[in-house]
Amino acid sequence: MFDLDILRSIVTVALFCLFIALIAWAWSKDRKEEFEEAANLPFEGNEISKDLQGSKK
Amino acid sequence: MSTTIYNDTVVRQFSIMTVAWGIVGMLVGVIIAAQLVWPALNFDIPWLTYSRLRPLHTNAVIFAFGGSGLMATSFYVVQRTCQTRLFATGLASFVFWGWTLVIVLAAATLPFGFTQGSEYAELIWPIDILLAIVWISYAIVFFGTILKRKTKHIYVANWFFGAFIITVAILHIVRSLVIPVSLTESYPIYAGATDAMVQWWYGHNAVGFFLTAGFLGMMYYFIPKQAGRPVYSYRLSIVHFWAIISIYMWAGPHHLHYTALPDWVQSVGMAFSMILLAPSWGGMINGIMTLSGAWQKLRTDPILKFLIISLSFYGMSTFEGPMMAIKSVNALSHYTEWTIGHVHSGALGWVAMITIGSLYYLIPKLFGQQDMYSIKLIEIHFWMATAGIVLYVTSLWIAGVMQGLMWGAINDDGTLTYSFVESLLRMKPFYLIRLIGGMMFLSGMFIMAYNVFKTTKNSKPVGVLVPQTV
Repeated sequence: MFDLDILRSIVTVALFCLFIALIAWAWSKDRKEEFEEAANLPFEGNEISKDLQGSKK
Repeated sequence: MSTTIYNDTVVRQFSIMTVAWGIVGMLVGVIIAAQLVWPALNFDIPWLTYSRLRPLHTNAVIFAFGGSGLMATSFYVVQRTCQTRLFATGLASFVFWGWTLVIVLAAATLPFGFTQGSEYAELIWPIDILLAIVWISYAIVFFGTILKRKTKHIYVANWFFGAFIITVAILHIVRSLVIPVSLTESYPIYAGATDAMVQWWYGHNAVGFFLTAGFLGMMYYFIPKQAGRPVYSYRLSIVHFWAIISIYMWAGPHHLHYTALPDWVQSVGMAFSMILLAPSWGGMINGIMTLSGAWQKLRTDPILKFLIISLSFYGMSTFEGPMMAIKSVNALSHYTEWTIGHVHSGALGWVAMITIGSLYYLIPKLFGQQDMYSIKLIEIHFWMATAGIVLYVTSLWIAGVMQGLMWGAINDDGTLTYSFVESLLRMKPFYLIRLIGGMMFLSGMFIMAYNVFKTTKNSKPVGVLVPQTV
């Protein structure tokens, strides 16, 4: 059976692979559009009351 | 449905209290800094002694100032980026009043010596229970809002706020597990080195999640908003998030180098602390590069100056931190003023500056104004705060390194070259410079309070409609 150190090594390597997979996922072309949309979320919708919108100080 | 408005009442309450608690907490800090220069300033009154006021200072700036700022901004950001009203209006109001009650109770117990004795977790057990209830309510309001969001994606700022809320709940509850023996006294369920490890697992993750992840949430919303352009790389922000939350958790043992903690745990803590440099700087670069192509805005916009310089201090202290976590460096720096300088480069430079910048963005909008009453005063505040931090941090660097070298100096026959008092006497000029730096930072807060007062006076906050189409 595995001893504890081998198990620890497996977990470490698995976590490293997970990290690489995360980078590959984040940078894949399929998600480019979705993330661009997400990055623009703060710019959607009103942030000040209707009275002030369009009024220039 | 067409009349749904954002719940900005709770955001307004927390924003104003952030400024108020900032002044209280930093004022206590200035008082104890003055006591280090002139010890007689405690007037031999027990509740004015350094030992009683120091936990009051840390609790007030971290939990009252920082906590209120985080609650104000997280409630604001989660509504805007989810395009929905805050979940459970009554519960959100309870979060504000409950949190304020916790702070008042802290101020009513700590100076009188009621403490659990764990750094940053000093509050006695009845207050701990109230804090846990308030925090869980906070989590329900925040995640309830995420659940009913109208947008498809959960914006990255909310990921950081969410990680901060969940982790702080776990940290607080695990650290506060005690056996009460009376209303004000209790004993922790852990003993010896285990208690020390739990303490610094808590303490360092309070830095990592309360003072970092939460404020990174602020950064990912308010820097793009103030700069008028989306974050530099959304993909990097995702990697930044997962990397930082999975690595921070293991860095705590660097507070316990050369103690009874097992050696391998110290090495694990050191290794993880050094790896932390990568995600920390990844996040900092992501924030600063958001300005790429719009650098000229920094020249004229003091709010942006606050936000960007906070990232510079964040980069500095997240470089300094891993370096100080190296055991051989730690042998010099630990228990010296260098540590205090490091903490304040993070706490004043990063935490306070990003909060102040975010509030200057937020407050006029919350009170139906276009801008703050005076942009000039923001500019003055910025320079006072920056100069104050520089004085504070550099004086304690010098003091700390000198202390470390003097404590470690040994004569040929093996005896210590300097007595402790000799090293203490050398501190006096640096304590004075630190006090001046702290006073400058505090003066900036008074300028801010005046500016906020003028902005909000006579203003009629109007409800902001939640957009109907996404």
